[in-house]
Amino acid sequence: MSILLQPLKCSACGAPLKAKERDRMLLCSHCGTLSLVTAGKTAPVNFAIAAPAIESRDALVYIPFWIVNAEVSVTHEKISGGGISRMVSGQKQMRGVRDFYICAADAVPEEYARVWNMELTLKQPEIKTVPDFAGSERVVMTMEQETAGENAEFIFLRYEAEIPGTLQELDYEFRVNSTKVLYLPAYKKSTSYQLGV
Amino acid sequence: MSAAKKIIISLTCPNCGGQVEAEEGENLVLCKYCDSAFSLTTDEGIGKIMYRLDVTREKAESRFAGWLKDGPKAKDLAEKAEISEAYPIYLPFWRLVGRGKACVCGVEVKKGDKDEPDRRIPHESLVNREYIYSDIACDPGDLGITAIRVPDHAAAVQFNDDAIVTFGVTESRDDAYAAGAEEIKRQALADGKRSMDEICFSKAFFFEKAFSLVYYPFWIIRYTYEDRAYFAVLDGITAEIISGRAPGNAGSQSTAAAVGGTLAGVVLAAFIFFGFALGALEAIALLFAFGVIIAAGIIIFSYNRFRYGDEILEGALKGKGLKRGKKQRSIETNYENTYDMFN
Repeated sequence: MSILLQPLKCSACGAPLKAKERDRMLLCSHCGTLSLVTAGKTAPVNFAIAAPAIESRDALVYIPFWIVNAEVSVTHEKISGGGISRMVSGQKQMRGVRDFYICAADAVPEEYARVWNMELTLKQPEIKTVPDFAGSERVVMTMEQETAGENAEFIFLRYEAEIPGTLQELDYEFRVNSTKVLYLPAYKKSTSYQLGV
Repeated sequence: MSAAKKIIISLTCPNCGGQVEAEEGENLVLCKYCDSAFSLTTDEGIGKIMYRLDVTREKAESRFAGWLKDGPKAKDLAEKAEISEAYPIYLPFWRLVGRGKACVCGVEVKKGDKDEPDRRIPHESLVNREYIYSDIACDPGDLGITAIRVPDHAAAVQFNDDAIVTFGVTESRDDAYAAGAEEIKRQALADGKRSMDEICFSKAFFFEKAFSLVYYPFWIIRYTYEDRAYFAVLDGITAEIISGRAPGNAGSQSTAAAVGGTLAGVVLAAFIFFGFALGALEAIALLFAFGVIIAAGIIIFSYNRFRYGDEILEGALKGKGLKRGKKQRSIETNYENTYDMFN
């Protein structure tokens, strides 16, 4: 058996790519383009960078998220109890088209990522974009594109199970329309993170 | 190594000649000297990893000698057993590491008392855990090996099949991957099911972290006792006995039959005696029934010891004989970073 190492090249200019960390988003030092590494190859990628909406003295970093635009249609659902709590807290069920936020960086502890994923998916924040990272750290992206859709589907199921009442029956369809990368600003203090949107 | 720590293999950078370290299952590799980025491919599309044999022949034989004396084996086995051959062998295993996520909804049914109806308690659960699946990738014949558990101190080296004795891989990579992913999903669902008696909704996902073909070392010791051939398989890293065949203890066989029969009789008599002592007809009948059940249990247990006592089967061996030892599990759970919810 032989193991082959094949140089990865910029998806825009073809220059060999260099990196210090194992990032699925590789920056070309030649032309400045970000390429996505997927299935052992590089590909052009649709991405955006969100502007920080709050200020902090802590270090600003940009955390990659997969934004999965998907449509949820539920044909049948049965929840045992919890109806009043759901009404009082105004918790709506997750239906229709929305963007699912999936934190794509292993460096962010799961305890933050899972909370952000849910909050951002529910709130659908308005994002103002900036053209570049302006010298701030770009956190390494580790999650592959192929798994983003199923991670989004699990967020939907998690929501349905976590709201008051006990989920009993569910027939649904989860259709992914598109996926793209969004870098969200966050403030980092040693190992704790605060999201900047 | 914690159960899911990744295995590292060393390669040479085609750009600068420096040493490049690649993680198990990772297809993006970086050179720390010249920062070049590479995609890693193998001609069979899968990373092969080999573990170093740590157990010496002396250690294997001394551990084997200890095993001969252990348990209800023939009394003179340690004296009379003769090793006919002892050799190390590497067996291939598929190893799949990944996160299993599941949502399970259902009902627990609590049986009501005489007049009360059954209580139906609704439950929902979310499972989010890391699992490690392993499965033998060859036909191990009569060796009785099905899965591996890689110990913390195991050292991985780059695969080199010139220097080792091994069996050919008999299952395709894709089939193995699909089986592993299914098994991890099945385990996540089973972990979510908990006390539910009826499942109304369930869905599971698998997210891969690493997939590789692992060559794991074993010692095979073949030996004879009274002109019959037996064997034992030892883990080549921990020296633990994985599987083996040994002659049983004829004395323990007859003891099992005699003691079992006597014990069953005594238990039954005692129950009948207490029944009469209590006086009530219902109590006599009830205790008699209990006595019969327990006595039957004892007789079945001793009969098995008697009938299959002529051969001891260690580990996951099939066939007739007294079965001992633990079976290797194909799924392990890494409980770090577990995010479950049970309602």
